[in-house]
Amino acid sequence: MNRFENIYTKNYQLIFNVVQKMTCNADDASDIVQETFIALYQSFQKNVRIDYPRSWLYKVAVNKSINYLKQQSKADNIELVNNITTEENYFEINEQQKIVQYALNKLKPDEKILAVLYSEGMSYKEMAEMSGIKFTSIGKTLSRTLAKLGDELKKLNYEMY
Amino acid sequence: MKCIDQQQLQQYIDGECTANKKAAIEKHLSECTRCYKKLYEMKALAVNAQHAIASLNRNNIEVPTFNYAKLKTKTKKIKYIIYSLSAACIIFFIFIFVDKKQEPCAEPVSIVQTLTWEADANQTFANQDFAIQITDCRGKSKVIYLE
Ligand SMILES: [Zn+2]
Repeated sequence: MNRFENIYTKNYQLIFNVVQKMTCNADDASDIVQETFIALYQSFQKNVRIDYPRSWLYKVAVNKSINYLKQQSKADNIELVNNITTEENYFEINEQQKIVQYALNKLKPDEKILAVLYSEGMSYKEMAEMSGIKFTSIGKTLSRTLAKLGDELKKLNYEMY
Repeated sequence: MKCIDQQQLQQYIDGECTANKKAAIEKHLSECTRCYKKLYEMKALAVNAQHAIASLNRNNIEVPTFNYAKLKTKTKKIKYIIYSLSAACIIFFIFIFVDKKQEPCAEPVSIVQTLTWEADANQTFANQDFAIQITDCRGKSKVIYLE
C-alpha cells in the first residue's frame, strides 16, 4: 500500500463522520469525502508538501461542507434535505439520531459547522481556522448556537441528561 | 464586578479565557447565585449538545476502495465541457454575424466625425493623429487614421 492509500484507509471514517454530521446526508457526504481525497491525491502528484495530512483533510472537508451548506441554504432546500435524510436507509438511524439531525438542520451553515467542530473537542483557535469565523467571535457565536440547538432538541423531546 | 455575559461564561466553560479573567469570573460566581445557576445550565447544555452531535458518528464504516478511475473521468468531463462551450461560442458568433449581414442598412453611413483636425506645421504628416470616425446606422463605428 502506498502512502496515499495508507492515509485514505486510516482517515476515511474520521473525515466521513465530520462531513456526514455537517451535511446530514450520507450520500452527499460520501461525494464530498471522495472529492476531498481526490484533492489530496492530486496534491501528492503535484508534490505539494503536506506535513499533517489529517488536519489537511479535515480542513478541506470542512471547507467543502461549508460550500455545500451555503448552496443548500441558498436553494432553500433545508426541508427537502431533512426529508431525504430521514427517509433514506443508507444507514439505519434511530429516532433520537433523526431528532439530532433535524435540530442541526435548523441552524445556519456557520452555526452548524461550529457546533460539529465543537463536538469534536476542538479549541477556539482550531474552530476559527477551520470555519473561517473570527477567533474573537467564536465564544459569542458558540454560546448562541448551543442555546439554539438546545431549544430545538428540547422542543423535539430529545432525551437530555 | 457586574454579571458575566453569556460569551464570557462560554469561554470560561471551554477554558478559553486568561488567568486573570478566570479569577475574576470565579470570584463573581462565588458571590452571585444567578450567574452560578446560568453557568450550571450552560455547562449542561454544552455537554448535551456535544453528546447529541457525537451520537451521529458511525463506527465500522466500510471504507470504499479509492476510485482512481474517477480522476480520469473528471478531467474528461472538463474537457468535454470546454469543447462544447467553444462550439457554442462559435455558433453564437456565426449567428450574430449572419444575422447582421442579412439586414441591409437603409443609410450605410450616418455620422462622419473628425477626431483630430489640428495640424502642427512643425511635425511631419505621419507623426500626427489625423483621424476620421465613421459610424453606420447600427452604431458600429470605425476610426480611420490618415497618414
Ligand atoms: Zn452575576
